[in-house]
Amino acid sequence: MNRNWYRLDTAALLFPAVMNKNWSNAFRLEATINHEVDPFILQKAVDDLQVRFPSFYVGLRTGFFWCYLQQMEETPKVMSDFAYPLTFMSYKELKNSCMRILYYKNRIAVEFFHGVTDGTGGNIYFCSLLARYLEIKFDIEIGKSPFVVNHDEPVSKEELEDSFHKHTNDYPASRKETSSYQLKGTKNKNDYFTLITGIVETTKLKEISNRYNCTITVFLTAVMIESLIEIQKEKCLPQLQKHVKITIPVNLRKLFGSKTVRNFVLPINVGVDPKKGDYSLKDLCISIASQFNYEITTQNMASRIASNVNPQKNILLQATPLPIKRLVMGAVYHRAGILTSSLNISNLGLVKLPKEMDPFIERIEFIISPQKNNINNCSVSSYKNHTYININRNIVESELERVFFSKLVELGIPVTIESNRG
Amino acid sequence: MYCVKCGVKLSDDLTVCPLCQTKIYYNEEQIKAIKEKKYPETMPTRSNANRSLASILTMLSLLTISIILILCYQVYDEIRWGGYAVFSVGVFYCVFVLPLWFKKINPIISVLINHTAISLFLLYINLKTGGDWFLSFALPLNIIICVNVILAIILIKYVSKGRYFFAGGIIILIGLSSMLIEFFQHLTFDTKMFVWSLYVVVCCGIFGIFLILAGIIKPLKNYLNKRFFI
Ligand SMILES: [Zn+2]
Repeated sequence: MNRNWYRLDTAALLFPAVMNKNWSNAFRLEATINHEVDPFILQKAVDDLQVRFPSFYVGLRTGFFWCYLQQMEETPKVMSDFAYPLTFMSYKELKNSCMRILYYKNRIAVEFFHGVTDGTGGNIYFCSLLARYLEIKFDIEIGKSPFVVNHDEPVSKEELEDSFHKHTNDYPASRKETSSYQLKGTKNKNDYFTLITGIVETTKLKEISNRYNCTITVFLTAVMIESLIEIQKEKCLPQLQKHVKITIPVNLRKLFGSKTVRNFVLPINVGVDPKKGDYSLKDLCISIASQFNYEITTQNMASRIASNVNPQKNILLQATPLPIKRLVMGAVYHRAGILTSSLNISNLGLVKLPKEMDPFIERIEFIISPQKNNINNCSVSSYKNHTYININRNIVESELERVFFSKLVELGIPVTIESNRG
Repeated sequence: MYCVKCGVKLSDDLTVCPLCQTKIYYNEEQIKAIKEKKYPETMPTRSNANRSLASILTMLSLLTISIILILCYQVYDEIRWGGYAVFSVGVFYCVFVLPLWFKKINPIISVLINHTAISLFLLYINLKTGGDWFLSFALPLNIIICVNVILAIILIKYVSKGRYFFAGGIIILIGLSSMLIEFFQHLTFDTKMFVWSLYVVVCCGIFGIFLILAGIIKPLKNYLNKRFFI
C-alpha cells in the first residue's frame, strides 16, 4: 500500500503546538447497541474501513517545520474502555494512531484526536464503522445515508481537502475579544473527567424551544448563559461581573458546501454582559439567536477563516523550526484564545441512520474533553427521539450542571441524569 | 428514582445524585436490581517521563560541550573559559534535563542534586581562579540555603498539622542562618561581624514568633486562615 502523508489542516495546526502533559484535544462518539459487542468483529470492521478512510488511519509525526499526519499500515487495535471518557492521549500514543476504538459491554466508542477531524467528520467514520460492524455481525445489507458511506466506494479528493484554504477571503476578522467569566473549582485527581449525561426527549425540547422562537442550540446556549450569570452573581460582587460568553463551534460544511471529512469547523463566541442589566430567558434567546444570525454568514465566516489561514502563509512563520513555533504558538494561544469564553457547547445535531440500523442501535452520544483552560465542556447529540446533553468536567464541584439541569426541569423538560461517578 | 432536590430522574446505577450529592436510599430488592455502571473501573496507565525530549536535550548538551572543548583546544591549546561553559551546561543539565528522565522525582532529591551541581561548579571556579573562598564561604552558604529550601518543601508537601509552628520555626531558622552566613563572610573576606544579618534576624524573629503565636491562639489562626489561604 502506498503510504501517504497529510499536512495538518488549518484548524488542526494549533493542536499539537498547544497540547501538553495533561491535555490533548480530543472528542468521542459512542453508541449503545442492543447486544454485547464482539471485539473480533469490531476489529474486522475497523480493518475494513482503512482503505475508505485513509485520513483517519494516521499517526501524528513531527517534521522540521510542521507536524504532519503519517498514514499507518497497521490499524488501531480495539481496546476495552476506561473508567472515564477521553483519557489523556500522549504523543507516544498519537504517534501510532490518532484514534482509539473502545468497547465495553454493549457500547462501542471511538475517541478521535481533534487534529484528524471534527465532530461531523468523525461521525461519518463512526456511523460507517457501526454499519460495517452490523453488516458483518448479522450478514445484512445497509443502505447509504449522509452519515454512512459504503466501505468499498472509492475515496474522493474532496473528502481529504483542507476546505479552509478554498473558502477564505482577503479580509481577516479581528481576533480581539473581551474576556469571559471563568468557573473555578477543585481539580480532579489524575486528570479524571466527570461526565454527567442529561437525557431529554427531543420533541419536548423542540416544543419548548419553539415557544421561545429559537432552535435547540440557541435555546440550550441561552439556558447555559442564564445558569452562568446566576452562578457569577452569587460568587462575585456586582461591580466585578464579567461578560458571560460561550463558544459554539460552527460546522462550515453546509455553509460552504464542502464534503471534507477533515476539520472544517470554526468557533464563534456568543454571550451577554450582565453588568448592563438583568436578562430574562426570552431576552437571552433573542440576543443569542441574532448573534448567531449575524455571525454565521458565508462572508463573516470567510473572514474568520482568513484570520486563521493568513498566518500560515507568512514565510517567516513557515520557516521557523517547529520547537520555536511551538513555544510561540503556545504562548499566543495561552494569551489570546482561552479566557474569552466560559465553555463550549458543541451540538452534533440529529444523527439519522439508515433504517436497517435503527433496531440495533439504542443511543448515540457525543462527548468532548474540556478545553485546556476551561473546566467544563458541553456536547449535545440527538438520536431517535432522545437528546443527550453531555457535560464533561475536570473539577469536583458540579454546580453548573446542577443549575443547568434544574433550569431545564423548571422549564418543563423532564431530564434523566446519568454519570460515571456517584 | 427522582432526586428530591433537583427534580431530575436518576439512572438506576447511581447511589448519589451527581448534581447535588444527595444520597439515594434503596431497599434490599432495589440494591439487587441496580444496573451495572456505565463505565468500567480500569484507569489508564500513563507515564509522565518525557524520554524523547530528554534524549534530544542530552544529545544537544553533549554536542555543545564537545564543540566548546574542540573550539578551545583549537584556539588556545588549553581549556581556558571552556571549563566554565562546560560546567554551566552541566548545571543546566542537572536542573532542567535530568528530571525529564524520571516519571516523578522527589523535590528534595532534585534540590540536593541541583545544589551539589552548583557547589561543584563553584569549587571549579575557586580552584581555577586560585581563590580560597570555597570551603569557608561558598560551600556553607550553599548548604544553608539547601537546608532551608528542603525544610520549606517539607512544610508545603508533608506537614498538614501545626503548619504555623513549623513555618514560624523555619523563618526564625532563616534569620539565624543569615547570621551564620555573615560569620562565614567574616571568616573569608574579613568583613565586620554582624552588620546586616542583625536586621534580618530581628525581622525574621518577629515574624516567626508571630506565626508561632498564631499557631497557639485559635482566633488569630482562624483570622489568618481566612485572609491568607492559598
Ligand atoms: Zn440532586
